[in-house]
Amino acid sequence: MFTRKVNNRWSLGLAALIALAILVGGASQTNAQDVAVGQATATVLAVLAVTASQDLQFGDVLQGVPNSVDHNTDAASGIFRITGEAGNQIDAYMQLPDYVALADGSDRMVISFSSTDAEYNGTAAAVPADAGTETNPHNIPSLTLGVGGDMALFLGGTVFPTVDQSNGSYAGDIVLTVAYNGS
Amino acid sequence: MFSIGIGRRSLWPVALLVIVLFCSVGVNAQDVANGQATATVLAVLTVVSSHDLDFGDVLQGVATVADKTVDAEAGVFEVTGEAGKEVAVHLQLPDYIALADGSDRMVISFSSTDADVDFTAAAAPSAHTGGAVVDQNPHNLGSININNAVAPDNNFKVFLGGTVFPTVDQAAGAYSGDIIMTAAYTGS
Repeated sequence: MFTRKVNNRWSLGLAALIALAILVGGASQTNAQDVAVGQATATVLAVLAVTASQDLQFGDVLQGVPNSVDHNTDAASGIFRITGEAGNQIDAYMQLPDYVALADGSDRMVISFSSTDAEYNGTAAAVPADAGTETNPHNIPSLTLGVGGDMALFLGGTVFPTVDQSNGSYAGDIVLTVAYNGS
Repeated sequence: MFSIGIGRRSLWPVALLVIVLFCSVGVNAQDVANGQATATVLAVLTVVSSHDLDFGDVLQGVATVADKTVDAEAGVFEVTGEAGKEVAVHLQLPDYIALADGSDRMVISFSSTDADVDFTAAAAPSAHTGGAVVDQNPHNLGSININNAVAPDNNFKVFLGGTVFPTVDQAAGAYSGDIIMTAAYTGS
């Protein structure tokens, strides 16, 4: 009986020691690794948008008679309006046609733009007759959007109908591309 | 009668001596010794993201960098544990960050020099200590030894930079993406 009691006590003690070792070992594996989740964040500012709000309109022209439109003419000058994040700088490129043509392409008429045929104005709701800054439409400088995020470009030009110019409605595309430059 | 009485009484001491002798021999045939199993659990390894990688305001079409040496921009992870022990570190880096509703996403990129590693609690992206290791590859940080110093300097910090590439028609709004750091003792 003495021997059985001793054996039982040893067995229990050994079992307890084994259990303790397992618990301690398990705890060590948990603390040996950790994970943290951070984030990358960014806020994209106001979308840059440009619209052609008025065509460059030469109106009625006569064969053989050049016809010009001044960029300060409210009813006739071409108008592009740009909106974006106020105070940020944009680059602008204007693709100007060499000709305007009939819809069926049967005749075309020379169009030309001088180095002073454009003007820009960063005031909200500016119109061509307002005082702005004259510029070369072939090489528009970087523009800084106004306090309201606005910028307007006004465009004039000259058409040169020939003496035998076909009658009809002539048209040609003027494409303005703008982009933030990061400044 | 006298002889019989005397005989029984004389046997008792002998019997007692025999019993004592046998008992003594039984005790000396067994012994017990206590040994021990010992283990030292190292300080708990913890990793914390203490600052997000923050690009701030970005413009459509304009690539923007978050500088790992600028306090307000750098992502910061801090690993704390047993001084002087080696830790294997892995950064899971996103390819995109996205709007919360998932309607648009923006490319994010990390160069091979977009991470700095520094030591001590006082280390900051803009103020490295003398033992800092700069221009590390965040895609392959490998193993780093925890600073061999007492708390609170039993640590190392990873400062992370990166670049985002918004498109010219990137949707406006707040973009985010997870950066996950996993750290584990190597046993060295």
